Amino acid sequence: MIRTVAATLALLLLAPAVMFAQTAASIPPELKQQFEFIIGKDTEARAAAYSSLEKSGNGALVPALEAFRSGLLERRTDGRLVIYLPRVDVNGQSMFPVVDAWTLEPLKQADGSSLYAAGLGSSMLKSDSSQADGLARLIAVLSIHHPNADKRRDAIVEAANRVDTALLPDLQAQLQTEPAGEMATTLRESVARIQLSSGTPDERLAAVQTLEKLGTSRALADLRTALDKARADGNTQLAGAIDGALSTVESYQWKVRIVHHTFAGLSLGSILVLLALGLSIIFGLMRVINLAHGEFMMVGAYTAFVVAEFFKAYIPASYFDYYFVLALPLAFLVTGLVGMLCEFAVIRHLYGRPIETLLATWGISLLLIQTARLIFGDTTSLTPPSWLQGGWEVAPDLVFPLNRVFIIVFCGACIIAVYYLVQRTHFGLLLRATTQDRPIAAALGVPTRWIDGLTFGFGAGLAGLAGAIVPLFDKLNPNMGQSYVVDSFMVVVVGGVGKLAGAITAGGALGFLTKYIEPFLEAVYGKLAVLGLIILFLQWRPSGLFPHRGRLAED
Amino acid sequence: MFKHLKRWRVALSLATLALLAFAAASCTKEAEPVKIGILHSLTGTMAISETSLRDAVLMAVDEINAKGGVLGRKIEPVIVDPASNWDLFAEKAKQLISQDKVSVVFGCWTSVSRKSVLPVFESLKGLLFYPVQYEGEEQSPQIFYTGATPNQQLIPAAEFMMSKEGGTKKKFYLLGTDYVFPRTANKILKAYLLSVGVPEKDIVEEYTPFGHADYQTIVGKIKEFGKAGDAAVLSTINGDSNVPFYKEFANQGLTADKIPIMAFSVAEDELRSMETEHLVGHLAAWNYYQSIDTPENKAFVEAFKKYAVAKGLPGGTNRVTDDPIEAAYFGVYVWKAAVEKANSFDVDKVVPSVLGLEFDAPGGKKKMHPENHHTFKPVYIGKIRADGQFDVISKSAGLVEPEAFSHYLKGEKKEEPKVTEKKEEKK
Repeated sequence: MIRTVAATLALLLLAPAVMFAQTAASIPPELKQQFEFIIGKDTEARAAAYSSLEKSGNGALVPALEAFRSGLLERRTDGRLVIYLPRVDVNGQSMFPVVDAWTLEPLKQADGSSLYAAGLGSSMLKSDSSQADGLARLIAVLSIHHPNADKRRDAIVEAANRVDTALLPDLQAQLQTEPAGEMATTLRESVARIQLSSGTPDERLAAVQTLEKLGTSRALADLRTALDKARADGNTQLAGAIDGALSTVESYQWKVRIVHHTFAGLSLGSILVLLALGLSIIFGLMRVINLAHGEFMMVGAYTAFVVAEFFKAYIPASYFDYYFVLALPLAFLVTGLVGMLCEFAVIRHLYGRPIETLLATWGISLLLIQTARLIFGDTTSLTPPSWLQGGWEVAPDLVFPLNRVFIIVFCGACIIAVYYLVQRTHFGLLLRATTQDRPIAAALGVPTRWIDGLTFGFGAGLAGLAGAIVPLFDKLNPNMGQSYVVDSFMVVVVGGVGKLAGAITAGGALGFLTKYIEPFLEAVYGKLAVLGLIILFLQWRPSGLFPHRGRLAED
Repeated sequence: MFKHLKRWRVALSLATLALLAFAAASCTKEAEPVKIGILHSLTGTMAISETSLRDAVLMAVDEINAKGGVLGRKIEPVIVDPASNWDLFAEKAKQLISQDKVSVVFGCWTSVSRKSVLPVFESLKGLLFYPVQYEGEEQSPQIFYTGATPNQQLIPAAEFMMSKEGGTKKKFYLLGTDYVFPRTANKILKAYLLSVGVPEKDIVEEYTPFGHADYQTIVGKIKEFGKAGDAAVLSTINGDSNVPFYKEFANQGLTADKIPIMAFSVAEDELRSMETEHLVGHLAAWNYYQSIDTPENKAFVEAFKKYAVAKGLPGGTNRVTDDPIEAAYFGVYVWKAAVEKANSFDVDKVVPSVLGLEFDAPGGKKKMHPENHHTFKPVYIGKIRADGQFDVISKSAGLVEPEAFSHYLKGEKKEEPKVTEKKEEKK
């Protein structure tokens, strides 16, 4: 039952066509008749049908044409034309959802459930190679009226890429009726790009001004070509205008790049900070070098995975997205408990012996990795909730992936919460007291053993939280923690051991540094460069950005 | 009387037992099993891929044994675990050849493991069947390569991207993990692209460390590189890193329609563990797919699933077949046919009889090269489906001749590799 619901949901997701079908599905019968000629054998009628369909400008025909092109169109025995959509999983079998070619509504079986086809039969209608060019052209022309906004935009951009002067009047007409909004920006850009390459001198000049205002990277490439051409033609006025526009667009593109790298650095840095915070608190308090920190993160990730699988199996698919809301606190709690258990069983007995704790936590990490491998096998991945998929186009050419936006916001909130907890609450006070001077704190009645256990659990829980959000962009496997633990140790060392502000500053700095260096060097050398810089930095300031001062420094 | 009868019965049954034991003993003496070695990592980072190859080889062995073995002798597999550790590969190979005295070894996945066992096989005169597509530039007299050479995978894939069906791409982003296969593969691809007139500025080569997870910058670069819609990514990204790469790709708003990714290291077995949603519509180039629609292949896929269930292997009916699995599987049959042709298990006699051998594999007829120890294979371009399988969207006209040493690297012009005459297109 749930599988069927899931399949239906997948069908809806896979075929956004279904959603807009109601609004724009009006295909007049005469066009359907013309379509019959296209799939028919009569070559003369076919040629006439091509031109009349092209003139109709009816974008709702595109799905049927595309299906015909790729052999996914079928005529049912009752004469009705249907389309096979991309396969979905139905009760463990991979099936084609079957929808009506005109309305794109799923076909119903006698019992009211949607119809699926197991395979492509011999009755599929498929174009032959002689039609390839004609169909491609027709689909390109009609797609600029595609009822799906994304597809329509792509088609409009494509038209400009081809410098499709034949479509120019159509695009200009669309711009008249739709003068504002995202689509208008795309239309304006494409019209200008076509005119820039093919228009009269006046049109070109106007196009240059439009493209200058828009500042997109596509405009940039076209402007460069046009500049060469204008210079070759000796049109100094145009060349001058393009020159000015180019520098405007280039500076906009430069800004876009800076913002993009900053955003990337912020998202990398925030994850590092979240991981390093736990590590730093634990080391500061207990002088335990926790090599199992990465594995605590892995535990958090698998907690989220289990919650997701539980939702997949027992909760209706429409509520699936909410699993993440439950997964976050659970990841914190489960990992925190695992951390406290480790502290209680192993680490408690090794206080004051840093080398032994190093080995013991390394042992714990190996145990956790193998346990996870035995239970979950190797690499799998977590389905992010749908509201964390895709991107948010902030400005032309600047897309912020939603999962990254969420990670930044979430890590920011966590960092603030941790800071508040440590600096402003009673627990934080006891924690800081124990960190500063354990014997005196104990003498004043602070239950230091309890503080140790809770702190270790809290630090582990933070790693678990990081673990729950890392699979939003990364893989999920038992080894995942190992690649992060090194980076988070780096953050702790650079920041100054046991200092919250140090971990936050250093995590952010490392994120930005990596992301600013990477574009210039390759990822491989970028990593090397960052390591080299850290070594140099530690020569200069061996105890990190925020060293302990005064009496504490003697430790 | 009753007592007497009982004693007589005991004597009779004892005699029968003795006879049976004698018969059994003489039987085993007549056909002592022949040992073969299996050298695939069952633990460590490569276990995820190599375990399936062990299963495929064992399945072939079971099938052959059920039909009476090779030259009347049963096959006894000796399985060792080199644990994804390159030095251990050489050690275990030595052990298989000199201690266990195996007639042949099936094994290795990564090029570095193959390079590490190569001297062992050459000095001890062992025989290795290597089942994975690789970067070429090697041809050992003691090794048979049943995977693809670059001209059977890389070059056809690049050709496809430049063809009309592939979207007439003009710019190429060569992205790989930082180790020997991607580096060499990209060197060959770059030499090829330059030779067909793609300007140097339209080719970008970039590498990421093993296990790289943050593809923000690279996807951003790809996006800018392909803004005009005439670029493709040729990806030799290995293993785990594919997950974050495809996710970031989709999240930054790129789709297969705008910039397709052609992958050389993503097959059905890898897709089994990924969410395919972000990968749908992207491409791969291989010599075999599970979705190849022939009765032989369907039977093979069924048999592999059944084998996994019967042996209680993880995955069970969800197990899939893919290119390396097919190559590992038919490798055993190639060896069997060669042994039967030579009427001997001696490596010296088996090697010449492998050369030029024609045989039926699950994916169709194939042929060993008469000289260079590689395999004639068909080339298929596949499009990733939501169910983790591939739709074949383009295929070579026949079997493509393997080229052990790429002529693009040697910098000399050689005529295009010949395609065998017969078109064996079974529909």
